[in-house]
Amino acid sequence: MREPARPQSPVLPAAARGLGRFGWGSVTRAVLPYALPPLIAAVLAGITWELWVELADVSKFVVPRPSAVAEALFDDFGFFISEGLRTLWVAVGGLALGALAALALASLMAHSRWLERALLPIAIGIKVTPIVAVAPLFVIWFGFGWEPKFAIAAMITYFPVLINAIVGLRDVDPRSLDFLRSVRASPWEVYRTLRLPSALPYLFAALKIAATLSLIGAVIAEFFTSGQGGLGSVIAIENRELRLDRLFAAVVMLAVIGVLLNVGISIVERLWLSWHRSSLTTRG
Amino acid sequence: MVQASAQSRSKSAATTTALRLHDVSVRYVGGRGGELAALEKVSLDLGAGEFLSVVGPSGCGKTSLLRVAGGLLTPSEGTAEVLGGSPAEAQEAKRLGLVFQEPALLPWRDVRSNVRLPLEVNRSATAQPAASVDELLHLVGLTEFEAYRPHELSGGMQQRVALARALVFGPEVLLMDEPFGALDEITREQMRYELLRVRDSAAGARKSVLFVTHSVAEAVALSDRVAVMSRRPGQIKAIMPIELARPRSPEEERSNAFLDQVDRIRALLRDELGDGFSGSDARP
Repeated sequence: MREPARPQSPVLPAAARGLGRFGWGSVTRAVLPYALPPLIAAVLAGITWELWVELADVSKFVVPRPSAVAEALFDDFGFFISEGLRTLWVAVGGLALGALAALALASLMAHSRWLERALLPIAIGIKVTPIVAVAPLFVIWFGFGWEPKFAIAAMITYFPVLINAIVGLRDVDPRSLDFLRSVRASPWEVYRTLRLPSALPYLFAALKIAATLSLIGAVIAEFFTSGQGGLGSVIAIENRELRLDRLFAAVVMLAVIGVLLNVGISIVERLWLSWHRSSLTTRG
Repeated sequence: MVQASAQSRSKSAATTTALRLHDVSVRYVGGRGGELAALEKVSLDLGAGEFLSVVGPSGCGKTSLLRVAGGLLTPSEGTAEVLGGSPAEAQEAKRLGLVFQEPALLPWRDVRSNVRLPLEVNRSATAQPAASVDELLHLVGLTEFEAYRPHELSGGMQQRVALARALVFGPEVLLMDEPFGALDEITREQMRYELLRVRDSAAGARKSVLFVTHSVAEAVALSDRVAVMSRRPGQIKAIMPIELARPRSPEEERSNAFLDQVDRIRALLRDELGDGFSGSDARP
């Protein structure tokens, strides 16, 4: 019997393999192809922006120069990092809460069409409730701690996870389902051995959408609890003070966190879903 | 003369019955509310230790027949009995194994873990595994591939995994639905004798096999008897005993005795395809 060519680990292309084997030199070499293009794009966009502000003579109270934003950011780098970490913590906590609640709800709804019909309108209703309208209420209900912030971030993130999880839990290979039925697997065993693993690619796709939403949720929550810190609070304060360079610095920080959060989820996804066709067909 | 000895053989095989279909009809409700009759009053006995193949034109209800026998489909009329009880009881007691046309392996599990799957579900059953996973992997020649994922294996190897998985509890009755249908010609021929070898081994223990195929040569090479089905709605048109000594070898497929049997069955099928009515008087 001929041994089939064992494909190289398709997951986490060069980066993780580099990390496993060699030192930092090869890490740089491995990460650079992924980090360089977005950096070049960002620098080019920054130069265009700078030239436009310069040539059109835009007031710094309307649009700040990127160079001024960068200066504001690096002058107070420690501050932006620590505020960024607060926001990240709210976003990740809210995301975890929202995603777990959505997965639990989706498991019930995938189990029964009746439950889906009963609960989905409620889920949509919660989804279309304007966050800005209820955010102050959350503060009244949950106090001034982390709780209202987690709740707001969770509320904005659960929906994409819910919808994708319902589809993912139902989209199982009918032949595998036949086999499990033929060995008399219980609904819970079918869920554990077939439905949940089948839903993972859907869940990760949803998590990537929800991760960016969770940052928005965290910022909105911090808007309404400004004075307690976080990038949302910084944005609110600098907006009042008309310090647009610091406001934009907070936005840039937020963007960087958003990208890193997405990269983090992608890495976990590639490690976890090495069996899935999406990681087998798209590489490099 | 051939006919006479066949009679005596099938009589001795029928002293105990592994599987009995009695007047089974299956009707599906069609898309426009009409009914589609897949099987019409089919009766079939599979003797203990017998290898019985079912051949017929595509769409004649072969797969429906097997699904009824496997308890995956409740017949509109008639009964299915496996080892004296219902198919569900036979499955609960782990005395019935199924192999489908598609291997239906779980892509996130490696070979060993796929073979183990039946041991992980419905554990309340008192049934004990008949052979260790190691023995089964050795039996189907996949010992070296135990850590491979299904997508890293060829189609033939995947189907060996499915076979090993079906044999974990050493079921007395094996139902196979075109298990080699998706394989290339050469692998397919090789797998026939592989299957016969497995069936002659200790873990195979001369199981009763109901085997659905659309390849006449495959049916003749494997079987003690071949049931020929008519076009939809499927009925058993004739049951042909196969007069070939065991163990069988690939070389025999070129012998006149083998080709005679194939021709006789092909003639029956040709009647069925060429002229839908001419076959009706050939029913035993």
